[in-house]
Amino acid sequence: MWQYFTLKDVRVIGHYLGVLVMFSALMYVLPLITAIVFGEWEPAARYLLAAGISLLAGQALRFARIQPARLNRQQALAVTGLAWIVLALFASIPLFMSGHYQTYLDALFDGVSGLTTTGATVITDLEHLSYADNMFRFMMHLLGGLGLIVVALSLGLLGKQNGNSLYTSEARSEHVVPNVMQTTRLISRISLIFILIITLILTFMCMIMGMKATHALLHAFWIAISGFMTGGFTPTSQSIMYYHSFPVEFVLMVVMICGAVNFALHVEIWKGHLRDFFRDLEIKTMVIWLCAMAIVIAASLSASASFSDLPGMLRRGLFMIVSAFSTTGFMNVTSNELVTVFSSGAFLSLAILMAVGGGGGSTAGGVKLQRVGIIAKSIVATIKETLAPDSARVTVTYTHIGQQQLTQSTVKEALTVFMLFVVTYAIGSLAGIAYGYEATQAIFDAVAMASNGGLATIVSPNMPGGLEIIYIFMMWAGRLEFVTLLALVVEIVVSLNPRRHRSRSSR
Amino acid sequence: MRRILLTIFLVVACAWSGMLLDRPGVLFAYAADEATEVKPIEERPYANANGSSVENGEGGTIESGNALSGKTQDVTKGSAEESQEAALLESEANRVNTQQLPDSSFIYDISIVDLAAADSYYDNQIVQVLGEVVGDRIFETADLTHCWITLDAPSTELDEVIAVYMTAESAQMIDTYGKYKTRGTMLQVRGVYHLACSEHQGISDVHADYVSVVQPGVTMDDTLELASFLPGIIVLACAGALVLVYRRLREKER
Repeated sequence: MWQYFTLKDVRVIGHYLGVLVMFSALMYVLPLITAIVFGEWEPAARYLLAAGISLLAGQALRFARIQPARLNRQQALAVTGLAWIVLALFASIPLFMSGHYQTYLDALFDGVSGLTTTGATVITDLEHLSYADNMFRFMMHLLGGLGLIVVALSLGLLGKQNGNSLYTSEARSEHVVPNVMQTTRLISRISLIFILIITLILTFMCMIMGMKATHALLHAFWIAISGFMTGGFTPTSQSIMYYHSFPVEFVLMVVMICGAVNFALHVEIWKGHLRDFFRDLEIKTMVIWLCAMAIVIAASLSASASFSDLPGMLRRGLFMIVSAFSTTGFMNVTSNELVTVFSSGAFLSLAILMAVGGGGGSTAGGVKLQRVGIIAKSIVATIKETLAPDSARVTVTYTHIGQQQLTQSTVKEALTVFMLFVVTYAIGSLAGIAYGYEATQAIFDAVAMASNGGLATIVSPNMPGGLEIIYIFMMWAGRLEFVTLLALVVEIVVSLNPRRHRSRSSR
Repeated sequence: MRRILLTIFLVVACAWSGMLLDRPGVLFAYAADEATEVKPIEERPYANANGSSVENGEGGTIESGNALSGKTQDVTKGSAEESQEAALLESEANRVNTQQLPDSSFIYDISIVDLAAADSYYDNQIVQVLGEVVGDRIFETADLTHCWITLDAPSTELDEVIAVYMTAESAQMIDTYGKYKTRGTMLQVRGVYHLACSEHQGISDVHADYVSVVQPGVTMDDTLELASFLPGIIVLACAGALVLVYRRLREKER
């Protein structure tokens, strides 16, 4: 029997959504300060208004229930699922008012892309965007990359008793430390320390290249956030190619790999457990997967005339592999080159890398290496069971934050999410094809959206509105790894169907 | 004396009118000459990127180009004898070279939007683009004599840019780099377009040979208008009031 929302549920969900909308006003603080510091008065007025709207609307939603009850699992799913799109609706207001978007839908697309750390953009005239607007785009990446719920929990906004149900509904399950709030604080702390260190390194590099100190500092801060959060937004439309610097690209490759590694494993390194880190199923899968795909892409690129030389292949090919695998979406070639210069084999291999994605519990998207590893282990277990005598009981173990035993439920969860991703990739590809785009490009962009990869060739300000809406849903669903969103959609449909209510009450 | 002059005038006039009646095409040839300006290949500013040149015949100019340069053919015939003309047409220099590669040295004024979507056809061709300088001047750490700039397509909805590699000396002509509330120097750059530059590990770029400033940059003021902050302040005040009401209600319920 399907569960449905009662009026009490709706009021509780409304209250907590209001809390999150109010909390999202924090995103406007740094852009507002940036605007004031650099004398950008029009953006300053805009971000003040945006912060006011969020606080007002959030507070109005909190009136839905004055004394909030403890969230149950069902309500937590709804709060998490709706938070991503509701916050994007508010975030797109200052973006649209900037005049850099042709329609509100375009601004919403970038709002969802920013929060889900997809990184694809339909902005126009990015080169003349104010510092404040740029700062806001990267604040969306920071908040979305860490996780809206993670940040809200770490600040204690959602109450101590609601932590676990909310935490697991945001596609996270591993507790680095026993307490959820402490775990979220640790994740936030690790990320901020990492971003600050990388900002300093990149600032120095940008200044050596001739950039002015302020510009260098801002660019470094933004691309450090975007890289570690595996987002993909950049302050220029040339992406990372703008810097024309191999050292910058190398640093960003390291940052992207770190961003794509499970936060729980960052803590293992922090604690000095290097052996456990390298024995982890996710790390092993990552090494094998990256080596295999690097060979395939190198072989495919060497067939094309332009990237057959070793320096070119290493610099462009390796960077694109890391960018695709971590689902960041940075580019050090133009999107035109992806279509015209890259061989179709290399092009589709990048899509496969995005489809699989990075580590579970990281900022990366896609199916996740952990699930791929578990499915591979499951295949091994099936072969072992086939070969073993009838009386034997086969058990398969793996290392992931300690020794784990492969269970039916783990395999079922991995296969379900894997299948949902594959189906979404297929639906998105067919939508792109139906809109008249080349099949390879349609597949590539569909994968980029659902995996939150962001490397895109179709996405542009002039893309059809229908396809834009499909892509928005794909980014949203991919970030929540489908289960939360599907459960929410089913519950809303059931709640809106009075026949089901009656049949349930008659029983 | 008058009679002699009159006779000479009549003879010349008759000869001239007879020539016109005999060869009326001459008139059209002159008209065509005025309409189409044809430069000999030596006078053209650039040979194609591969350094090859196009041979032309003496006395007459026959130009064969690709689709972009347009197929122009002009035959200029003077008042020389037909025998000389026939010899000229049969001359070695006037033969069609079937092995001649397409001459693409005339790709002028291509837009940055077109270059951003260019295929291999434009690779290694000489192009001339007009665009606004945006962002920063980026030096290559290994070579401080050259730098990179970014040219933005002017006045288009599509956000297309192209990386231009030029000498640091040429870059000194740029007075303003485009950013928020600043329109950068409008530059005209002529150089070789590379779809995947072998010198720079495969990026799409233009190696500038000739750079000229079309329009200097402009900085616009972003003046502080307190009235523009009013909506934000009002909404914030309303939100603050709602928070107070909510707290009061919550305390009452407790």
